[in-house]
Amino acid sequence: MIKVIAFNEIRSALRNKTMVLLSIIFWLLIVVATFGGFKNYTLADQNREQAKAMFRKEWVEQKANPHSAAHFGTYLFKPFSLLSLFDTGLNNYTGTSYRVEAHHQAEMNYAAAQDSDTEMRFGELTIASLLQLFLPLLIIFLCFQSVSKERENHTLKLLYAQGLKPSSLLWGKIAGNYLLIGFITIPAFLIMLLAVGLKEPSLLARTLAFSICYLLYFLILISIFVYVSALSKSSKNALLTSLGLWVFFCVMLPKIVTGLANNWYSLPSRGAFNKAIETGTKEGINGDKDRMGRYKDYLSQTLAKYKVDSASQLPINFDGLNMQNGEDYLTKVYLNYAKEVEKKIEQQQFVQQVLAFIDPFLSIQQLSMAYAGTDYEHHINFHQHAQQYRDEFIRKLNFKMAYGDKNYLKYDYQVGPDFFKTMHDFEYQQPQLGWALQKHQYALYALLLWLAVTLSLVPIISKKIAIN
Amino acid sequence: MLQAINLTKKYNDQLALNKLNLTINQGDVFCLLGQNGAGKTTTINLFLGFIAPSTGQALIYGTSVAEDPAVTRKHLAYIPEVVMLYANLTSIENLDFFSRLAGFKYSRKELEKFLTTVGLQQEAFDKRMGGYSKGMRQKVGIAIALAKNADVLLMDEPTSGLDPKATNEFTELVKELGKQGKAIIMATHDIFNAVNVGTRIGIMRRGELVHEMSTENLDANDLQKLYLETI
Repeated sequence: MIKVIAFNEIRSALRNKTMVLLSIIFWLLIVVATFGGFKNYTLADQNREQAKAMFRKEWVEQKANPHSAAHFGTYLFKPFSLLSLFDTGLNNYTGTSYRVEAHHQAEMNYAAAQDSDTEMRFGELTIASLLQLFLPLLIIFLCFQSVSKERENHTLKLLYAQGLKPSSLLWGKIAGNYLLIGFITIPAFLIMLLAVGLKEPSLLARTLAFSICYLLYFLILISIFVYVSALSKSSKNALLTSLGLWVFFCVMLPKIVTGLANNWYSLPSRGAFNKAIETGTKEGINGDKDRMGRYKDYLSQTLAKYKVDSASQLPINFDGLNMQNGEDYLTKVYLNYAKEVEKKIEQQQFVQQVLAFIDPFLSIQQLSMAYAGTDYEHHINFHQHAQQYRDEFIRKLNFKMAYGDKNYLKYDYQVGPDFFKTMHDFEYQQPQLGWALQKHQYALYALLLWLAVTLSLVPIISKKIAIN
Repeated sequence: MLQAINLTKKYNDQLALNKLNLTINQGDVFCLLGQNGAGKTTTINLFLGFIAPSTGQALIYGTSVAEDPAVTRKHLAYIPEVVMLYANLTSIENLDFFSRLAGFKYSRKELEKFLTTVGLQQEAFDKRMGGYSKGMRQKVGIAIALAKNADVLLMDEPTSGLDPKATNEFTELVKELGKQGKAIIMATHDIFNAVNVGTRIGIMRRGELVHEMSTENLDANDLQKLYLETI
């Protein structure tokens, strides 16, 4: 009986011109989003590869004093995966490049949002935004009259008289509409899997998880909107209620949650953060001595170690050593303050994860970004790797100054490609799917809980369907 | 086959049906007369199990409708006042769909036969029902009831809004069904038609069955007089 109802639901929808038209619009949008995304992706990928190659070439071919080279520095680029095309996530806001420079701990920079105002405010058209926001509307138009129309049409009585159970009616409606949404969306997912399989096979598992989560999300939405139709007095009411739910859960609540998280755990401004680091390195943190005091201590330690009386008697370049000592302290101060900020962001993230239990939209939003590798966790993971590489990079240059060779005391001490070539390039591997799953486990539990709860409501809702 | 024992339905303090006692056997065509709100539709809805009785019982083949509607619904077919069905399906598709729900899978030929039996013209079979007249829709409704092969037919004002020719065709069909041994309850406002098609007549007023009689030797004019006196 469920099958008969489901089949009839599909047939009726296919004969409904509005439905067919909406599906075509959805597909056109998917094509536009994919095409636009792919164009950006190839362009950005090309630019990045070129820049990377250029910086590396400049780096290895230079002939310079190691410390000048440290000032000259380099840039690191966040790898751009095909998946980030499906969900750009935070990438537009966090930036994708990292500056490596002496005496300075950088943040990620050059975010797309910095120089393209209106487009970002309006919201970029990505596959994720289509699936998260537009598709629910399509589901509403598909489901709002699924049960209420049977009642208005007086077919409900006839269905029951023929022996149909109310619960079978609901299951049939859910199954039929789910299959329809499947017909519309599964080809899109298959194309994504194919594209990823051809270009970056290592991301197949992520793409699969991405697709499955969306398919679960659609099932939750379909059952909710079928219930709304079943419980509403009229189709008109069902449509209004459904749209109201959409506005509340997909538009308003996410904004409110972001506002709340920001209010509860507000972050310092970039200016205040930089100021704190500057003051921290100058005056010392956690009871450390100020810069001059630390310099004096380090000098006397070093003199004692080599058993000499003055810096000029040292067999090494003390300036190089001292600069590294300063770098070490800068890193300590930086990590000290960054830890506080990161803790607050983690708390904000936790608020989002917990509130996903009351809003499935929040849950799919996080999972989608997580599997696309464009969420905060991936951002911070990249940043940590970049920062460690930077510290190692600067250390190597400072030590070259300190222990390099006998010419270290000369003002025009220079090293060439032979040395710079030995400094390995930055290589970053995105964490595996399991890592992303674990980081967003609560959002995943929330989605699964929503699914279990909505589907288990069938027997309860079916008792409440009014006949007249 | 069909039995009501002290069947009562209250909505808050309003008595929609008061202690109805009724037995309908094979071959009976029982016509319920009465004004709107007299309890005709309530009686039919109670037998269908769409509403639960406040007290008393509605039995079909001895099984209580309230206790096991899944079993009792197997025995009955229902023809509503407004047969709407699905406007974007053809009559064949509608008939096929509702028959499948009742557990019957008919071939195209069998489906056509049902539609022919109720007098639907062949050209209409594959046209979407959105363009059908009320009479044509009613015929498909009857075909659905026939195809269910049920012993009991419940009809709620099935002839309202039908033109005289369609009413006549319908009447003949119901008579034929009665002869085949079905038990039929038909709520109607059409006194002359009731005398013509029914084997028994019941007149209801404010939830009570006031008169019950056989149509043998019953004259429509006498019945009309009685009806007007009753209400």
